[in-house]
Amino acid sequence: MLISEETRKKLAELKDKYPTRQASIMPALHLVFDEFGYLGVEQLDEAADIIGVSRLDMNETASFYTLFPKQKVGKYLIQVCTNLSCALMGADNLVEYLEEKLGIKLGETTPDGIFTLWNVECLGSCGTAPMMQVNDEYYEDLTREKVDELIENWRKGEGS
Amino acid sequence: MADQVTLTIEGREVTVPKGSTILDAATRLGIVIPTFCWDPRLRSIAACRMCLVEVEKSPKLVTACAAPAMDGMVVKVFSDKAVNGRKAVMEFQLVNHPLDCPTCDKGGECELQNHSFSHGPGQKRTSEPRNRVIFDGKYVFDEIPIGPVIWYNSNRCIKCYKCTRLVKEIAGDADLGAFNRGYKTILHRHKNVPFKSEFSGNTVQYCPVGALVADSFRFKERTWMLEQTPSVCHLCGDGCNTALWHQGQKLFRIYARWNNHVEDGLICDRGRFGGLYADDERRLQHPQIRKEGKLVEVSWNEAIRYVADMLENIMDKHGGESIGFIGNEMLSNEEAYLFNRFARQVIGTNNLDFRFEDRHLPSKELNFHLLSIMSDRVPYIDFKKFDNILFVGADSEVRHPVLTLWVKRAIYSGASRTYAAYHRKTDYNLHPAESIEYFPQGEYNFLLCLYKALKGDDIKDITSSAGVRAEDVEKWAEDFKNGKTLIFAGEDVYNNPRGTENIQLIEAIRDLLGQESKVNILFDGANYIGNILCGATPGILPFGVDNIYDNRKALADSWGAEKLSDSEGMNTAEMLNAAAEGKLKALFILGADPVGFYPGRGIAEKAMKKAEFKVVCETFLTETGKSADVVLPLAAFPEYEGTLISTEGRLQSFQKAYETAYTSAEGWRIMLRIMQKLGFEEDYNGPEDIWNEIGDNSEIFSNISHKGVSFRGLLIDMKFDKKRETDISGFEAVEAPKPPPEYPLILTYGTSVYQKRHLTHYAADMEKIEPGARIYMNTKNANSIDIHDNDTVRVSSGKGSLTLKLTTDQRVRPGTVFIPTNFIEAEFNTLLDSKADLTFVKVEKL
Ligand code: SF4
Ligand code: SF4
Ligand code: FES
Ligand code: FES
Repeated sequence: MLISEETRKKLAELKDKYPTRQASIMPALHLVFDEFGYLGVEQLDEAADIIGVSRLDMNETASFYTLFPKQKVGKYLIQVCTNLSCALMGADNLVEYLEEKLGIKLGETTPDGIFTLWNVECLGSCGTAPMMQVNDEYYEDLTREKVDELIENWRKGEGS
Repeated sequence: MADQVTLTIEGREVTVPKGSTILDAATRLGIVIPTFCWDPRLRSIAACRMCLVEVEKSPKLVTACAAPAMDGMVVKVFSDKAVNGRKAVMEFQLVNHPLDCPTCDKGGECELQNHSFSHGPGQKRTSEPRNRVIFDGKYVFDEIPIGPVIWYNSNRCIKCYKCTRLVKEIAGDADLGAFNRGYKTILHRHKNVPFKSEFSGNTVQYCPVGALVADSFRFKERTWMLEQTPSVCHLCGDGCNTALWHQGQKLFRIYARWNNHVEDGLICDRGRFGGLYADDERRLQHPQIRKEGKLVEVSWNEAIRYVADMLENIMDKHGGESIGFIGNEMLSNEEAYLFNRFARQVIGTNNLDFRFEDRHLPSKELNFHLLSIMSDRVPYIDFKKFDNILFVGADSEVRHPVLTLWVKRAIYSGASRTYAAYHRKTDYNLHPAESIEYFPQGEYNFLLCLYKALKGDDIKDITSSAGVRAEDVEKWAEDFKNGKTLIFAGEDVYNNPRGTENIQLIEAIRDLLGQESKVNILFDGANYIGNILCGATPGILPFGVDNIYDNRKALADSWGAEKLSDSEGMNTAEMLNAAAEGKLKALFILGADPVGFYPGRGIAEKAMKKAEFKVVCETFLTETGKSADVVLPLAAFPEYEGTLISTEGRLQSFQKAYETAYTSAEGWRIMLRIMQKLGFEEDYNGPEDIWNEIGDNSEIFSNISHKGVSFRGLLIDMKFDKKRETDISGFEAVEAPKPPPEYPLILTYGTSVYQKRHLTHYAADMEKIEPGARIYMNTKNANSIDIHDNDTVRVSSGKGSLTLKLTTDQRVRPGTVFIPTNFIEAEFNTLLDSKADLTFVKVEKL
């Protein structure tokens, strides 16, 4: 059993909360994500058994939402928007700079497990492009200097 | 009218029931709107947009398959806007399509080809490379095996989701799904769950493109080079209508023919892939006669003459009563009827039976009783009219996949609740039935509990004899008091030491539940009812009349025979016993394998050893065949025609696809030639002649011509309406089975969902789906003796022992084990004692 007792309890509460079992899949995905930071097949299967839907349905739904990582990611999940407005404002350069700085390619995680770098589609913050989302926070109007500072801080945070 | 709406499509008015779609309304007018994702059996999801039409006052084009028809609507199917809309959809569908029609097995019957030809722009405007999904470099043509017998090519897939919806919504299985999103979507199985739905093959038939391909048909032949012949599946009693696709004498594939009263276009994998055994080259090729201890090939003439001479000899020496006839429940009506004339008239014996896989065979009284119940049966399409559906003694999902599909529909649509009482948990997948598991052969005690609970009696004292809990039975009894109940009495109810009492109890329960409740009997075997009605059991003469003096006399007169035997006759169990004791001198065995399948291998082997002369007609060399004196190669089902009666009581006919392959012969022809050598003076040109004779002489089949049953089949009116007054007040619970300490487990056995006896074994696909025999044991039971999934174990009873791989299975009742009977090499019946009701075993890890 991978899922903690506490999460299992919350999942069990979802089971008959909605008119259909299917409806409890989304909140269940969030619960599993909150605990693990990603959705692995094994965790999804366990959760499916608890909320009473098929393992298949659970995995299908999870696969639809690309915003949930399916494998373990770094402590800081950096998601750079590369959609139109951001692209016009230099998102590609930003990605390149981040790749260089972190020493990884898009989609990869640093060997120390601190950073993961992804690109995503429009995050609805076009007016402040280019931008990125790191875990639950938005960082906007980005420049190289700002990025340097942010990364520096996070790295420091890890060191201490 | 309030529940009707009237709309105009292409300038023509049409009135349809409220809730119909525009597509339904157009279909009624004969206007064809192209579709991909629509299927009459599935809910519309409007995924493909192929069916776009213009509706006046609606700013956008709408999908005809999903948009409800509304009063006063004006629909245009062929306006420029609509035509261009569909053209655009078509262009989109083809943006990434590989257009590999020349190597695609769907070529020639592909909806994408057809629609693109009739509705497409003929050209695409994008110049980017097509998106190509490559799973890993291992598979050429980008196809990956997603199931043991099915390949998937994501590049061809147009994401109509028909496959996953068929498997999920209809079969209720959770093993094929859509993963990812947008153009990256792929149809795939769950990473850790194999795609093993017993209805998986339907996804291949209904995939509109070549994205799903059956292994057995992949790269084999172009579809337009094949002929189709209408047939009926022989592999269980459900009577699915099939189409045989063949070329010359080669069978390429079996598809559903789509009879919406029977299989509704959805057949199980046993019928679809298992039926391909007909084409296996291991089939018997020549008649063989045992000479100096060895079977040697001879000509048909020599074989027939030899059989006739030997039978004549034995008749002269010991009389006709010393000969026994064993057939099988797949015999067509025509074969069964001839089989009965052969035995009763030409040989002069009542020793004949078509059942050989059970030992506790219903007596003639019980058979009459079953037929009288079936005279008031419920057809498949009406299952949903019942609030409660109760299965007793039926492994329905396994033995009756398609009948169960109708039950699943009733459950999934919310119309019915399902209750299953069996010695093993049967699951109805996504919407599980309530289940009670009693002791093996505990039908009698269970039914008694249910009966008493319904009457309001206290059942606390007797539930332990059935191995069930009083509160469970009481709850069911409460549930059944609400609404109408349909009871299915499965094979284990009547093939049972207390078969007669069981059926009486079921009738009593039905009576308690009221007029509106009904009972259906389940019959495994393609023509169980037909075999009884055509005279293939000892006590019942053709057309369902009692084998008593007057009836015998009338029959003899109509046949022009002097006299028919007055003896009671023996059923298969009695014949095997008599042969083993040397009382029966000869056996004529038609498509039966008692050594391989009779519950009690010892007695069957002994019978084959002791009898002086044994003839076996078979398609493949069976265990029984190996010890016969004469082996005659029997034609397989595509090679002859005839009629069958399904478990629904539906009379249907199957056609001959091609002439007998190899040098085999049809059952009726083999029998007729032997009969004629023995002085039988009539002649038949074929099954149609035999059918006409059946029709001319029987009340049930009169006025039904051979051609008359050809297409959709008909529900026969059996008219066995004798109401049997029975008194069950004295019924008492019997003792629960008590395994001895040295053999603590009760053995149960039965067919596997993918197999029919030894036959499907010769279909290559089945080998892949289910590679070998196993023993199934409850997980808790297994763990308590330190046995785990996939261990090799020895199972032993007082009679013998087997070495098998073990599967732990929650559905097996603790204290019991289950072995599927279909694996001949496993010889499951060596474990069985042909005298005891139940067999006890022990299981040890090796
Ligand atoms: S595999 Fe076939 S049936 Fe399934 S979604 Fe793709 S095109 Fe449709
Ligand atoms: S359900 Fe029975 S009759 Fe239908 S295809 Fe399967 S085996 Fe054949
Ligand atoms: S394009 Fe980047 S936030 Fe909208
Ligand atoms: S058939 Fe109507 S949207 Fe697919």
